[in-house]
Amino acid sequence: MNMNFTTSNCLKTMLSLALVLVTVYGFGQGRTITGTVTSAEDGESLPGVSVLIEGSQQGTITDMDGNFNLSVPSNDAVLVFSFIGFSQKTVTVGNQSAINVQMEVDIQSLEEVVVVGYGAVKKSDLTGAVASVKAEDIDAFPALSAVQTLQGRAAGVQISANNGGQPGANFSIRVRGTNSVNSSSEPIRVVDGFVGAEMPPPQDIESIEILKDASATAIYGSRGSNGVILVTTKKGKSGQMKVDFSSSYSVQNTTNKLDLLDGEEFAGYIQNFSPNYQYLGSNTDWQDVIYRQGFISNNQLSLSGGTEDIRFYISGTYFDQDGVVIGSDYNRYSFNSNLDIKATEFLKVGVNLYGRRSKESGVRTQEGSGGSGQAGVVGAAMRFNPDLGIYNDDGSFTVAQVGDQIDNPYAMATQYDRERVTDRFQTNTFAELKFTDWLSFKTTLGIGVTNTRDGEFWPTTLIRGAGSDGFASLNASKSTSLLSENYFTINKTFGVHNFVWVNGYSYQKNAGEGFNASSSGFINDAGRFWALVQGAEPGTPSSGYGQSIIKSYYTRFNYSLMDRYIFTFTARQDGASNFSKNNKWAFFPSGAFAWNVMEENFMQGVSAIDQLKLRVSYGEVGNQAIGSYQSLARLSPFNPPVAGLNALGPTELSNSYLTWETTSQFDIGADVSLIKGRVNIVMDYYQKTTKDLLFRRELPSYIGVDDQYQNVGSIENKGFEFAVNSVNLTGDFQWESSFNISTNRNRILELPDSVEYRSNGPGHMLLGITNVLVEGQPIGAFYGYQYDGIYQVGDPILPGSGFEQVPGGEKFKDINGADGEPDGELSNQDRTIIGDPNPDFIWSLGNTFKYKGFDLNVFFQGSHGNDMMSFTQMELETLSGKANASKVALRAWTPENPNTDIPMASSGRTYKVSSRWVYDGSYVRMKNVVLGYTFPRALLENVHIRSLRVYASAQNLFTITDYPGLDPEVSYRNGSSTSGLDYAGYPNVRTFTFGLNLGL
Amino acid sequence: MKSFKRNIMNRSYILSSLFALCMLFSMSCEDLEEDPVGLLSPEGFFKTPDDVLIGVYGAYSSIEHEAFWGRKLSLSLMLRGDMVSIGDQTTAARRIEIDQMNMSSNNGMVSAFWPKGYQALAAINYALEGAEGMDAPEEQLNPAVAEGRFLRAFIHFYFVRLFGEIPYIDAAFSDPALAYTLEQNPVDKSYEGIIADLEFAKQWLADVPSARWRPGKGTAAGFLASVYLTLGDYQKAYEEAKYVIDNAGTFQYALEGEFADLFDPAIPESSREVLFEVDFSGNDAATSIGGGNPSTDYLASVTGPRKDERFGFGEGWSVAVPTLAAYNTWDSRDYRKSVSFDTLMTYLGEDTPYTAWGDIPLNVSRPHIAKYYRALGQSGAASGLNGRDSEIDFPVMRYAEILLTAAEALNEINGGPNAEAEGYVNEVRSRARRELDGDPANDRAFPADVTAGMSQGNFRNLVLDDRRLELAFEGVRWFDIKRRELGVEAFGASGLEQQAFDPSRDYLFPKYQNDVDRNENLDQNDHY
Repeated sequence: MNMNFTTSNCLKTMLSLALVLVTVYGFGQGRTITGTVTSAEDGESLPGVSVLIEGSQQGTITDMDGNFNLSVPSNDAVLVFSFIGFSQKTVTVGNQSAINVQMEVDIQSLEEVVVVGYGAVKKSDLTGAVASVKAEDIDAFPALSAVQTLQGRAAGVQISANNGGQPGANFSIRVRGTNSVNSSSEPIRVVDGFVGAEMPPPQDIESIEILKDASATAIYGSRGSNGVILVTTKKGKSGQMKVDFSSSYSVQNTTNKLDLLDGEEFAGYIQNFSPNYQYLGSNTDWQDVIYRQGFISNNQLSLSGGTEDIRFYISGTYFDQDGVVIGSDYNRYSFNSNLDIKATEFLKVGVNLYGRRSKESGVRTQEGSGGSGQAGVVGAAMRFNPDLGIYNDDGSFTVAQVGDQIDNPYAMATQYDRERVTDRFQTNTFAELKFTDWLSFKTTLGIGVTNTRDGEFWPTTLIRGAGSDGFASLNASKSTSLLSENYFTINKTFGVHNFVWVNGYSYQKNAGEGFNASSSGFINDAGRFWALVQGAEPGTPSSGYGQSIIKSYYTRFNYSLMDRYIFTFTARQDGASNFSKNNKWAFFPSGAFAWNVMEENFMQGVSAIDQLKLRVSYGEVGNQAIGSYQSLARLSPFNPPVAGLNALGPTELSNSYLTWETTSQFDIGADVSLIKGRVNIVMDYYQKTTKDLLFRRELPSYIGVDDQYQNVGSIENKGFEFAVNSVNLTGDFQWESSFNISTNRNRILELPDSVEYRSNGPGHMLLGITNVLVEGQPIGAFYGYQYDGIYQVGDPILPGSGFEQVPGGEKFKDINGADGEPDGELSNQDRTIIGDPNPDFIWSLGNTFKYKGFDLNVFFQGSHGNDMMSFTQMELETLSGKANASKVALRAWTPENPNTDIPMASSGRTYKVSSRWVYDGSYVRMKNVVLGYTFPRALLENVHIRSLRVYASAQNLFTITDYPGLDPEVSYRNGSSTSGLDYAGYPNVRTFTFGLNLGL
Repeated sequence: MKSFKRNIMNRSYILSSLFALCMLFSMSCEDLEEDPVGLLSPEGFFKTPDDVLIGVYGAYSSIEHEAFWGRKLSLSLMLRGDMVSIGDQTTAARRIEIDQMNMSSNNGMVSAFWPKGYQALAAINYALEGAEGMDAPEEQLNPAVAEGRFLRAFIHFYFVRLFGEIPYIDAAFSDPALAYTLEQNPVDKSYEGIIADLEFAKQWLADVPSARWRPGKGTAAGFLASVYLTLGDYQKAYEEAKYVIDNAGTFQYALEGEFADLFDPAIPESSREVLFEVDFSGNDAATSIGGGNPSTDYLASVTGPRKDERFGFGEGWSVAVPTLAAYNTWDSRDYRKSVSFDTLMTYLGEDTPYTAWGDIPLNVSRPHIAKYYRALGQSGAASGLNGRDSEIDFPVMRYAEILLTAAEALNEINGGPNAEAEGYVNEVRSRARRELDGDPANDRAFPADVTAGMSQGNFRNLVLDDRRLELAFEGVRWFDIKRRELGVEAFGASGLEQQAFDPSRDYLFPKYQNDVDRNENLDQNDHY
């Protein structure tokens, strides 16, 4: 009967196999030895450890509590203890009757299993470039999302916060650079096989794998080109039930503040433009007014355990955050459960249930335009009159007295009401059938639903609300996803030949719907968005529905010869509804080869190297991340000339040929393991070319339609990744290090018009073009004038409409003219590339020290050579009197003070995109430092506690950077081609955390 | 036991295979064709003349938009002329640039109203394409087409005067590739298209449209007169103006008796003097489609005085403020002056004359424009804060302009004024004397009728000056300066406003730089 279980690539099954084998053969004669097997690392008992008498087939396995008893033939018998993940241990019985064994964790983790799409492989059999991040790193500090904790953990993976320390802020992920201009460059996320599912909280995650090269991602075909994030959640293990409680409390503060004019300085500054301007009497530091100490509490309780047949894991998490800007809060409740049932010898079923409610009370930041009544909290704190207080004499809120009429930041933070409540529910069930020892079938059905209710209220205390006697809107949206995966796995060995062949079909349907209602002219401010009926003027309601379908057939064929030569071929055929009718289907193949050099006979004598694997892969993967109906022409309703009529106009042009964006990638890499597995090195070089970009091509405005999706242009990314993990010291004092560094060179190879311009500045600053896409240059290059200092009296002045022609004015370089030569005149032709937001390299360094129960982890992370363009600095230092200014205004040019680098105050100076606002955004950041203490087991046993660890940690303790803005890690307008821009973002935070992990 | 097990295995194999196949087929049957719900496609939408009108109404939406007549274009025209200059010096630089003849190639006013105007053209052209080959009686279809063609001419006429050689768009783009190499249209070619559209509109539009924000026959003729006047074809300008005058009864045109009533937004019926207006609706931002700006005008906000406390909607912003010379040179006996200028505000509870406004932060000691801000405030008509999102009806063209156009043209045709030309000017002046308001007690002596037999040059200047005063702050003056090439004089030492006017550059605005960058066949205007 054991024949059904002899081979499997799934290690969990191997475990049961060992169990069965040993159970079958584990009876004999002689005296009986008893004992307990525990882990040397944490002293926990180890169930399922194989105990074999050397040279025989006799043996047993340990029970749930790690106990075993075994008959041995003689005192000479040698017991061999083996368990996956631990070093094998041998003990001579001698005259002992009780043998307690502590097993050491095997640092030579060559047989580690790596999760790949639709299966898992031994690390030694892996042919692709895959980075793994384990639970201990994912859970290293309190984070809302596991994505945040991935920052710096994997080479070639760049993660950045979209909006500083904003509670609930998203993070953007780039795997090996930016592939796409307008379509998403985010990798897809796959949770336990569910594509597009939501990641559970970090504490529920067992491991995260990041698939980087085409060999690894091609199984995800049309969605693989940006990389794949595979999340494996924690499952129950058979054995005693475990109760784990983790709790942490954090305080947060802003890392930085800008140095602005105070009230009196401001009045003096404005008198440059408006001599009658009088100091309004107050002296308010608006940054102090809106910033506060933030607070996070993060608690999780989980239960896990089970028998051989039924295993479970359930957890509940509560995360609560008060942001460092008044009025910004976030909380989240979630539960997660995994149930795995071995129904029969040949059928396994399982179900995952995950639910989450989050509530986000937002403040307005990173505003797209900060015009009249539209400024956000942080933007207003920079711009607003410092010579005004919060309130006027009559108790109303002050409004700006220069430039755009904006609300004061305190009013924006406290009066503007934004509340977003999101409910997410997802379930993923699977059934796995094992027909024979070499053929199995797995089917999964995933269903996910997200409901969002988003309410907004502008009371009459704000400019916008005053203009309409209060304005409220309520938006409801629902997105659903259904995924069915069905695949056969064939796993067969013929002597030295091993095949694993996966064949499957997948169907996924996503749908979104929503509606919006609004009202204005409210009776009073009390009802907010819950009293739309109290508004005298209901707004025009809106509603919409969209759906998209992807159907796919996929196959992967792994062949390994003598564990030495490993081949992988992968292909996926995808059909997607959201492309033009003639172009819905595409094919994505890849191939890879790996050579385990150390398996060769000629390497047997080389003892310094434990493992050396060389890998090479090539393949094509796609990107289809655009919305539905994007290839169809559309007429949309316009506001009618008078109420009661219908009006419309064109808003989309049709494209009959819209199809996938395709990335072909070549990867060559090596995995090296040295000094008995104490040093592990992974390195890769890759080259990716993305063609037929899904390009949201801006159309000439005289077409009357803003833009259109077209398959135009191509982009190249190539780079080098190097990661090393080392165990530097073992014994009582342990020291481990991990270091990775990666470079990526991004270059646009081809564009439809050679050049594409982008206007990404804040709307109210009217900057026009800020970025350019041009062949031969990286995505997101900044575009503008070359700043050349200040005109001094007597300097020759370059003519040009819109340019200053007086001493003290901004001076720009004349680099070009109509004939391509400098023409002695300034004009728009003198603009050029003035910066590149892509880093030369990013790196991280982590060190973990352990002594007795103490552990110390210090994690640094850095980015180098990336430029930033700060619209905040531009607004504060253009000195045209439209807003408050930074202290540099005090040393502005005047005829009496010509020796300065700050132009004179001038009301007619427009904001000009120039190299003056481009800064080096390189930084080195102490991302995380944590000091923990794990109580000795002996002490805890008395009080029936399994484990207890307490820790204190700090995030963003310090940052070394020359960037003059609030923080170099910002992302205004979170698009693929808009990195390195900074405007009025939520500030980054420094966090101090105290926490404990308790196991019962 | 083995065989029993094998049975189960076989059965489960079959069952699960069937299960998998069911899933496969149930889902495979759904094909990948998109069937959008609730979205309108241009193909198949336009079926009746009413559908064409829905498309044409889309163009009005763009015209009323803040980015067009709601502020960006109307404010630009005021500032560019010689009667209005910036008040609050801390206002946005894009406005200052226009006023001071120092426009950047990416001027923020142009980057708003240029795309918005072309958006209107796209709506029109899609509707007109939909009308082609439509199976509908000519007398039902053509008036809808004529309304579209009138608006197409209207937008092109403003753009050709502002920008010179423009992309002339008279067809719906279905393939955007063509746009990247589109040639800019020579000015005379643009005018040919404009005239053809207006001729068609004149033929097919109603004698009296259902509302005066829509064109009638007379509106088309009035704009033809303006086009010919701009082109210097005075004979045709006269003929078109004369056509409007001769048919004033049929088209229901007449001078408004009370000059101030022209600017009173509370009067529900449009004045019979109006040939074409932009009809803003007060306080409708919240109910508009596409955000607040499609229905929000800021005419009162940008022209009203800072810190004024007279009206419930609050202060204006002192952005576009008449020059002192524009006020001082205007004869104070002229009733229109008091309607046009705002000289007394309430500050800190006290009546404060304009001479003291310079002491008020961000205000200046100059009278302000009254036609929008004060007229709105006194009327009590609906509006939002600062008088934005108002009920104002902006008179784009009115009968008085037609009379003055006829007079100016006749003077050029005949080498001097004749009685008919003098009569047209006197008609406008008699209303200024309030003789048409029906109350003899209001009748004034000023402005007197013109002296008969003036020289051609003097009469020309007199008519231009009468246009300047009669149509003050209504977006007409800049185009008069341009077509008569008065820039150097108007902005010179003896002009009403002193600016460094460069005639080689400043008669044209810079074209929208983003489009110039995208299309190598579209050239930026000289010296920008």
